[in-house]
Amino acid sequence: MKKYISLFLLLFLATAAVSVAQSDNISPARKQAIDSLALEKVKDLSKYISIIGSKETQFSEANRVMDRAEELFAPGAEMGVSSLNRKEIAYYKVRRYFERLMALNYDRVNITWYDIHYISDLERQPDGRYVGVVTVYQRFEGTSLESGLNYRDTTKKDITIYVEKKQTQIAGRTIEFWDVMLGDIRVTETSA
Amino acid sequence: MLFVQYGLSQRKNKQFIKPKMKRRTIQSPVSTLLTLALFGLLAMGACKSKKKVAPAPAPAPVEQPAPTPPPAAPQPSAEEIAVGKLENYFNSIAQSTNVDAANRTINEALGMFSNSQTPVLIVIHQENGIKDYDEPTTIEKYLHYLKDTKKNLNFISDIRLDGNGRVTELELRRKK
Amino acid sequence: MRKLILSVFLLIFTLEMAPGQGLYSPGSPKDDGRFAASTKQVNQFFRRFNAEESVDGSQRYYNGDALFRDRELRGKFISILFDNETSGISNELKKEFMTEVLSEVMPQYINFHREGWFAEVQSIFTYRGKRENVTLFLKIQPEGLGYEWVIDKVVFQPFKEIFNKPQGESKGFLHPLSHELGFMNLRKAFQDSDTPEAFTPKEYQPDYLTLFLYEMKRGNIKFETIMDVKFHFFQINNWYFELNQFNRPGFNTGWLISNLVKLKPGDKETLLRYIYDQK
Repeated sequence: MKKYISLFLLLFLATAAVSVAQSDNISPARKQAIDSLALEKVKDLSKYISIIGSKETQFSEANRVMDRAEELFAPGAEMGVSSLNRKEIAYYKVRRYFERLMALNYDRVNITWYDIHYISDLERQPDGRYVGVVTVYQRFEGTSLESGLNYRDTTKKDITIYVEKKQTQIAGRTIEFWDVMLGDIRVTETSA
Repeated sequence: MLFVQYGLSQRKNKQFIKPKMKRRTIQSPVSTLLTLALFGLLAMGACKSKKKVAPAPAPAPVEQPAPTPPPAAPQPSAEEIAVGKLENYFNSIAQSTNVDAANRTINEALGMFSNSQTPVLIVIHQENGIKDYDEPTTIEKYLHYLKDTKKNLNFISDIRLDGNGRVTELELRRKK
Repeated sequence: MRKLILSVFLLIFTLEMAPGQGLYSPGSPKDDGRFAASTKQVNQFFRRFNAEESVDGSQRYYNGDALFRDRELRGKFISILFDNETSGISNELKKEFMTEVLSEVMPQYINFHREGWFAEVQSIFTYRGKRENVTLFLKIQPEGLGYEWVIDKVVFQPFKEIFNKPQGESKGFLHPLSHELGFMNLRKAFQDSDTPEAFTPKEYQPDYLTLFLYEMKRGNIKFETIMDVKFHFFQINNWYFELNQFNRPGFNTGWLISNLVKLKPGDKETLLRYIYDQK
């Protein structure tokens, strides 16, 4: 066992030395991990949107979820929405978008996303942060029992993601983590 | 000319493929060893913190060889028990269809922690022994996250307990 | 000890093998292949054009990957990157283009960071309270630690109408001995003429971007919204193509080549003048 431990240590040191030099680079494998992290945040957002949009959700719970959803975003993020009959972009602040959603008050809101997504390369911006775009397709179905109205659409969502390496102190240790924040979202109604 | 060019690109391809294959054959035992090493370390860490569970208050930063490995094997350690309980809580919160029931489970689970702000680290990637984390969160936020998103994507890869057997730190990892 | 490690390892291993809750819940609508086929981002257009991703787009190919820039894969990709429904690009032209781009001797690729491509953005601004169409041309440039899009040119009809340099007999001028009179005739020139641009050199070009920014700073121009975006590419030697987004039913959707032109010497300058529409 002792023999093994020293071997591990040696291997560990050897590999650690290599990685210091490229710790700020985003290798394909790391890019993939960041991609899935970003995608997860996108899915979380969709879950939150379903909760906010549902009439069954209590007001306090909806507000708590709105806060959580808002935490996914970088400050000042906006939604830019266009539809098939209205090509120009209508802008909403993210929080405003959630509040509108809550006000819609469908009895049942079913938000699902198609089993496909696309993730762009990460590009570096002037301040050194990385930026990418995740594209997902979402189906929205809202049913109002009173009026019997049923609204349904399919939208393409191009979601900005900001990726930044950050450090924090946890229990006296320095933890390096990837901060993935959502940014502006372009929502396009599709003819699917 | 065309042919020469083609040959060149062929060779280029081969050059790229070769080291890759070589690397792979080396890498897999290495990564297995590394994983083993990691778990070895983890196990050692577990033994160490178990010492902390005992009344001795000194945190003893000095590396000590794992004191009594044989009894550790048959009987689950405090950490193992805590991990088992927590994994159950995580699952039940993520699968809960009732917000009130989920909130009750969350409060129950929070009782296992030294406080609701106990840090939770999520490893998203590991390369050359360096761990990449998601943004650190707290246990309270994480439990609500499980409730809201109804998905339990991570497993517990490391746990720290204080002298009272309460969790002071949790490290999670993505299930593949 | 070894047993313990092994059992822990096994436990983790089985955990890892367990079917985790995937990204898509069972109720997710299934794509029938149309979204997969669509060129969903300009980024995907680049990657497809260069064969830098897998057919389904889920995997990015990097230098060293077996299929990275694979010629056969590129051929398949490029053939689906044309708008086949409205643009009417002839098959012969496509073929000629593909032959040159896919040349075995000197294949040509498009590059995100390189010059030779830019965006044309149709937008709406209010100018002195009235909604007006504005065309912005943006290009990408290195800045700081990365890159940024910058506004390179602007086309704004109200400005174009202001500048209308008269030609020939109707054009006012300052006679060639004006200097002997200390240019005192400037007073008359400016007072009597509503076309002071008549007194500018032949090569004079009004700088609409500067004017635009000036008016914006004065609070006279305000941004409203974006209507449309397209891209112009001059990165392939002796070829020009336009990239447009098609949002319609079917499989031929997304960012597609909507215009393809083979360029003869001098054509590029003419085309650029036409696109930028500064006169």
